[in-house]
Amino acid sequence: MWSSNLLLQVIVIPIIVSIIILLTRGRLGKAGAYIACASLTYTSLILVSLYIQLWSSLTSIYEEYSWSQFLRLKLGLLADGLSLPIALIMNLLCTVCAFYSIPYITHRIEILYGGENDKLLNLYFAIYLFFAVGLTGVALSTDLITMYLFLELVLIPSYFMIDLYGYHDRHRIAMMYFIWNHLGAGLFLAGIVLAYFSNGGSFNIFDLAKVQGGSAFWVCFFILLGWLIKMAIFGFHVWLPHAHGEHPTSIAAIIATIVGLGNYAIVRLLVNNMFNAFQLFGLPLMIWSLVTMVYGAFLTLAQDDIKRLYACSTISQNAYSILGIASCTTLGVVGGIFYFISHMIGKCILFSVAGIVVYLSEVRDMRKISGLAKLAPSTAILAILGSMILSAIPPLSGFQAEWAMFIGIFEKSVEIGYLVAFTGIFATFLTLVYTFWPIKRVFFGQPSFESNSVKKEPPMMVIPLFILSAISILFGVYPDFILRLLTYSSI
Amino acid sequence: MLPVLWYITTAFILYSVGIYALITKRNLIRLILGIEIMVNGAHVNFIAVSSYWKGGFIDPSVSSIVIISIGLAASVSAVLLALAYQAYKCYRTLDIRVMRRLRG
Amino acid sequence: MNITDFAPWICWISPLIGALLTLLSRDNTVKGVAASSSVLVSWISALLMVPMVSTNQALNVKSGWIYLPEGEPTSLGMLVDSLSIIMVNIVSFVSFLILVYSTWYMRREDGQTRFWALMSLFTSSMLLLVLADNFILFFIGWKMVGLCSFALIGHYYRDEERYWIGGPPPSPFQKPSTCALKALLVTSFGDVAMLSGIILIFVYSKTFNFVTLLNSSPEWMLKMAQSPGLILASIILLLLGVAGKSAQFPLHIWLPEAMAGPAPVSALIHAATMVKAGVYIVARLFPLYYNTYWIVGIQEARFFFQIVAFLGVATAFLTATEAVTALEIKKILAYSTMSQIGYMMMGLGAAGLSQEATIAGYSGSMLHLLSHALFKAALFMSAGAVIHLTGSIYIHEKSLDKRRTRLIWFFTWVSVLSLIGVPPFSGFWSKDEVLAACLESGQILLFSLGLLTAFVTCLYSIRMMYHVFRVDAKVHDGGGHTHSEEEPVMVAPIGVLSGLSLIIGILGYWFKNLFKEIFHGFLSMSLRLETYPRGEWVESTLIPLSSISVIAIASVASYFYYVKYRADYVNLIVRNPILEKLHKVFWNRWYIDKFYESVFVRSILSVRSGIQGKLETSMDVLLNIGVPGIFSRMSQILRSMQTGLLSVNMLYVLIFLAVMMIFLLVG
Repeated sequence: MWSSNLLLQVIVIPIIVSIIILLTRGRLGKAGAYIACASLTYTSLILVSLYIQLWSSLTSIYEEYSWSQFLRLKLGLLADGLSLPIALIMNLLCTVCAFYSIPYITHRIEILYGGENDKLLNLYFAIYLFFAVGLTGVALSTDLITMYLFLELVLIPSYFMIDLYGYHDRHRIAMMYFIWNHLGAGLFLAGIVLAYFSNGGSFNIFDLAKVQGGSAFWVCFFILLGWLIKMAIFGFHVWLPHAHGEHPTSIAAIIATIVGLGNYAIVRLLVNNMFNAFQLFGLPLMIWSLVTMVYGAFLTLAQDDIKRLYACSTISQNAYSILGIASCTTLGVVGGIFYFISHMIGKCILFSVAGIVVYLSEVRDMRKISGLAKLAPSTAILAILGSMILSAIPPLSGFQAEWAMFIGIFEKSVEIGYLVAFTGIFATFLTLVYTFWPIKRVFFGQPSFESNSVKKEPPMMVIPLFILSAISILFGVYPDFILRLLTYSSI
Repeated sequence: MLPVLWYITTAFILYSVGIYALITKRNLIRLILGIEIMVNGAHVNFIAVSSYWKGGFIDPSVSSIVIISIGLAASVSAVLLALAYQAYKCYRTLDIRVMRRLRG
Repeated sequence: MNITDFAPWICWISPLIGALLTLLSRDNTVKGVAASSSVLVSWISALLMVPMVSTNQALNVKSGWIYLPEGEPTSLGMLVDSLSIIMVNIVSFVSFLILVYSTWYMRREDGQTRFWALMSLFTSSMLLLVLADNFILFFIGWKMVGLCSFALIGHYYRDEERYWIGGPPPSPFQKPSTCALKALLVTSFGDVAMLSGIILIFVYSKTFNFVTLLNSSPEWMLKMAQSPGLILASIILLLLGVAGKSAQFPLHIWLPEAMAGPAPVSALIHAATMVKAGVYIVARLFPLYYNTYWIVGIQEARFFFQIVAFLGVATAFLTATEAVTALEIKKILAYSTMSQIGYMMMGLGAAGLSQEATIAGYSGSMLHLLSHALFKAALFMSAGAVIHLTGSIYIHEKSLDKRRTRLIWFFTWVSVLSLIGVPPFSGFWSKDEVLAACLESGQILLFSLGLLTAFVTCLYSIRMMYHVFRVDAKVHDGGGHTHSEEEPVMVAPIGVLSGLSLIIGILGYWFKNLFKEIFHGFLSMSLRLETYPRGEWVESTLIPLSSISVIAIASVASYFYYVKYRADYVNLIVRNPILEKLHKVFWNRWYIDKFYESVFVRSILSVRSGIQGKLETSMDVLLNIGVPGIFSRMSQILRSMQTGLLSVNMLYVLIFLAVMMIFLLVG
């Protein structure tokens, strides 16, 4: 009985645990945090086992539960080659960040509210569990309405997180973040409703293919625009440096994942089902993402605050995946999704490193820190590993993803000219500059701190990140772990 | 018989006189008188339209509604005058533009 | 299933295991021994592959690794042929000797785990690069050597003052972490260009495998030739990567700064192995473009050889002149490295430009690669000893006492003579082969510039030797050592390498012909061109005579100048304005480095605050404060409509009535 409901367990168990934590109102103390981490570990293990099963048998896993007989609503959960890697990585990231949060949030609560506060700690973990549910749900859902539901399920807790535990000016920034993302989600909803009326009254994702003609263009347009706003493409990117710079770093990876989730959504909804309409958007989207890439890279170079730096870099890195997907070639799409997965891992590591630096030294301005490598060697190694993932240096996964994606982009160039492709690949050089230069500034050089004024790195923050880098090395050394699943499920 | 439009015009003139009073007058008593005139205009309109509805047949329900309405108007103006008196005792003036303490 | 099937795999995986062992053990000597012995195992497995050279085959052992939706699956495979066997032997042998030397050099430093692990990882990646049978595996090795190079140059990452290079004042100093970053960025720029070249080729040929690329080259090259300029673009991109890694013009600016790393790092990475990776890939791709130009007949492929030759000769000349004025011993050797690699590129370029010069140029380049690896590694190791013993990185401040360092003196002289190209050392034979190929292919410009560079090489080498081993008053007092400072672990590797230079030189004529035979077989197997036209210049005595006479003139000149006049260059230059200008140009490295710095680095640094301050903040204010501002203005306007005054509300009622009246009457 248990084994047939695995996907449902992945979604429901964190909700149950979260409600339990909320109901006990902080009486669990620190144990509440560990219970939350344990439940997330359990869901990750379920997904890992499903992944291995899918990889060896290559048949998708589909579970369907009826929600309401009256309204004929069904909850369908599909784990196929496209959605399972993403669901797995997101769950793993949530688990890793949950362990990372325990020392971090304790410290943050001490600073913000003065003294230990178990109720706030438990509240954090109760809210946190909804992230896992929402992100995995978006990846696994087969129905447009459930996808929207899970998306909002991720958005609302993140508003509370920023508001309660963020850095300076957090109230205003939480509201700004919420409004921007809600605007994107609203446009997505407009596209959903339009699709409902155009394809004869069904919200199922696979029925999107039935939308014809002129309305296909508008459906595509609204869905695309909604998700692009959430992905902080150039022009709509102004919320991201603030929101990602001022949130508590332990959820940094989650919020970065929300930004990148659009890649999955675009592939699942538009590339797989509405390919003809999407191709019309191909070239403008490629150029737009190129502008984002270059502008994001220069903006990142201009930062001096260590958290805003990695926030701005998310803008640029996301644009790589969009460039790959917009090329509308098999390898471009597959490489784009692989790059997105690899980027999520790398960004989680880098944001967490920034969080550790802030935790250890209480300073965010990079002009004031230097020479940290002697005092925090594991952090320095993690920073270099994370930068290697982003800059596509082997043997980490970024390299394999990047060349696969660029093959797709170059193939498209045969039609549209090579300018886009060359600009794109030379923009990847800027990534190297803006990741390794801060490493030099922060970690190398003469120390600006006395060795006893800096705390020790807590192992619970560092070890999960090393596990993540090991996963990235695994994908880098044997990329077929992901490529096989992605190519089997793509067009 | 006179055309019904004349009666409706009369009612409309009465109504506009009442509106005019409400828009331009500051004195509380004048506003009450304006309300009275407006209500009377509405009564005239009712009776006029009902008597011309089915040529020659006077509808008793309309008349009874109008008579009740006249009574209501009278009681409304009684209450209003009492309120005006209390307001005068409080503010020492009957100018409505001075009475703004309830405005949010 | 004989041992030769496993040998390539053992070769590159063994140092990787050595790196892991280094991480696990705690004792410094154990780490050193683990690393060195793993490289020794590599060398032994490389030696096991040597018998296969005579078979003239390319053995390609594949196993499926990455399956793409289209094209051949990229495999995890090793390509074993004469080229890779010779390179693997050179790399592993020199790495082993340098690691033995490092046990002496690094014995009192901290950060040893990092050092040994990274050196082993580096050797492993370099061997992977050489043995790889497809572009992707090759590129993985290529990037990893770049990463290890970054980490090793920045070994003294804490930037203590004694590790700063540059100067002497008023010239600026550079810190090791900056130098490491510069090396990483410049080589990565080349890498990005190379990756785009590789991907471009894949789009047309649908394969990454070297053997398949060569065999199917007529089809996909013809497809590429249909878009004009595409083959040229791919050539330029690939060669940019080569220029970056091998420190050729225009991406040669990082190598002098890379001397901030410890001397073994400079010896291994920046003299003997990593910078040769570029030469290796040019040699690997040589049959492909040769085939395309000479046999298939596509004209655009000729650019490959022309650009390679141009890069080579430009670098050789420019950097040799820069070495004449340099004051740090390792920087002189760095410039010399770039110059000699320029010779190798010249040879390869000339080999492709005419059919007569092919074998001579190709084998001459490879022979020069071998002799350069030998003498340059020896020179860097003795430079390391000099720095360690004198405590100064400059040649003009302190010098070594000849009486206490006899062996180092002797071995350094052997290597320097090989560098200059004096017979009977190995450098003479290889340099002459390259020059012969240049003349043979009719490239008079290459030949004359090559001779000129040989002249300058002699000048700076004798200058360096004079300063380092001066007999006059400035005897070193570094460290207060009074006994003979030479320890066997330090001297033996230098001795072995210099000895090999000498032995190969003495056997020079036969060794050179042996190489020619090997590469004749290799090229005929890959090019399918059985007979090569005989060259007239190759066998003549003109070349050796001209090179020896050039060297003789140069050595006489430098002897008079440096030794007799005690290198009193200050007076000489101040009196002569032309020489002063030349000195300034050479000292400032032809202003190329300054150009890059002002165009790329300073411009970005100055634009930074503008982007954040003006561009981003204006967009930010516009959207995050402007748009809500519009809404609040609108809401304020609407709010002012609700006055709460009775008369105003009644007025609204009246307006509404009027509008309804008009609608009813009109509509």
